[in-house]
Amino acid sequence: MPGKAILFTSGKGGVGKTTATANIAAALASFEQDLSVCVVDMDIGLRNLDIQFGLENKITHNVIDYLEDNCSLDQALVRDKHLSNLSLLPAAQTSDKDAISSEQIVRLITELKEKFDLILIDCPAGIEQGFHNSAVAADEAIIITNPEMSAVRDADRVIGILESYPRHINCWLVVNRLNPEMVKNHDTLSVEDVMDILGIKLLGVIPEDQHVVVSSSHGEPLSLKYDNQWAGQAFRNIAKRLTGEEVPLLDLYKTRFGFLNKIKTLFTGKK
Amino acid sequence: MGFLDWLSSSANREQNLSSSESARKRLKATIFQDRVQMMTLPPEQLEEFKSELLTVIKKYFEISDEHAQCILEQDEKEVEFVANIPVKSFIGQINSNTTAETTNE
Repeated sequence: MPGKAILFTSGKGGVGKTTATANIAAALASFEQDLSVCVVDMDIGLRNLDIQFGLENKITHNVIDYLEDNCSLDQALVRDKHLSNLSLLPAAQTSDKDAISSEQIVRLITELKEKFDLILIDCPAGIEQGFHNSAVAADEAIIITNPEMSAVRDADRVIGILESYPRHINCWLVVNRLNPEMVKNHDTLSVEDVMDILGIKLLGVIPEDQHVVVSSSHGEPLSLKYDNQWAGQAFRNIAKRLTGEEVPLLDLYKTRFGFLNKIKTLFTGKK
Repeated sequence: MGFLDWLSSSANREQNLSSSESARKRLKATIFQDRVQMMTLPPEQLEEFKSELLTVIKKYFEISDEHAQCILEQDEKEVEFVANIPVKSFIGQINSNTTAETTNE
């Protein structure tokens, strides 16, 4: 059976698309040895997915090299350091975004579907050709947003564009960088607000967590670390839901605002 | 946060919306506007649509083309396509002064 292609998109830049793609891909590959996963960096000219996996020094060829027949698909694919069933197809750093056509992408993704069970496509920001190229062969889309006005507005725009495609693409919502404390104090939009506005099914919520930045610096996806980090757990839960498992949403309020924390807050004034 | 800051911020809170309420309200309004713009046909396409629509209606009614109006109307909640086409007579019937009003969301 050919694999499934999942698009990670947001419209707005900087909402955590690439980080989420990397973390969810790593989690998926870590669950099952038999599940082959490929992440495709479609941000041509602004390659970044390699950094998330710590693979920036292992790249010899890229997606453009392959599409222009300068290398084989196997030469372009880079295997992950830890997970043998996870591969990265890196973006080109020098070519520009118009270097590839939609037809080429359809052919590429069809080919990747023969080789892999899951293909995760990291879409560039914006809604120009790079976006359409990334979406053209996707079976499902994960819309990543932050609980913040401009990110939600752009997400709505992207959903509208995907819905206007003649081919039906199932859209899922991931709310990234949620600060439970701010939601509690009515300082920011809640997950319910975002769901209400965008009207698509929720796949998961990732709390704001400094460990995400730290793990990016080390080039090790946080979702592979089982030391009880919030965001890592949230990424793993999303990956599990993608495989069809039913996982309840993390209770972002209970633990962090538990009794001990309340006492600490009383004494230090810090939350 | 000093006492005065606290006092002024809580006074503000009573008058104004919370940050999340304000964001929700503004976002809903903005997204509604965005969606309307996305749905609205460009003028030349609306004209083309109007003439196609009239061709179909003319199969069943005798109408006065020059008084036909087709517009997209919006209120706070939804967009409506409103066509107001005065009907002179039904085909096969004479002198019926009915107006056909079609509303399509």
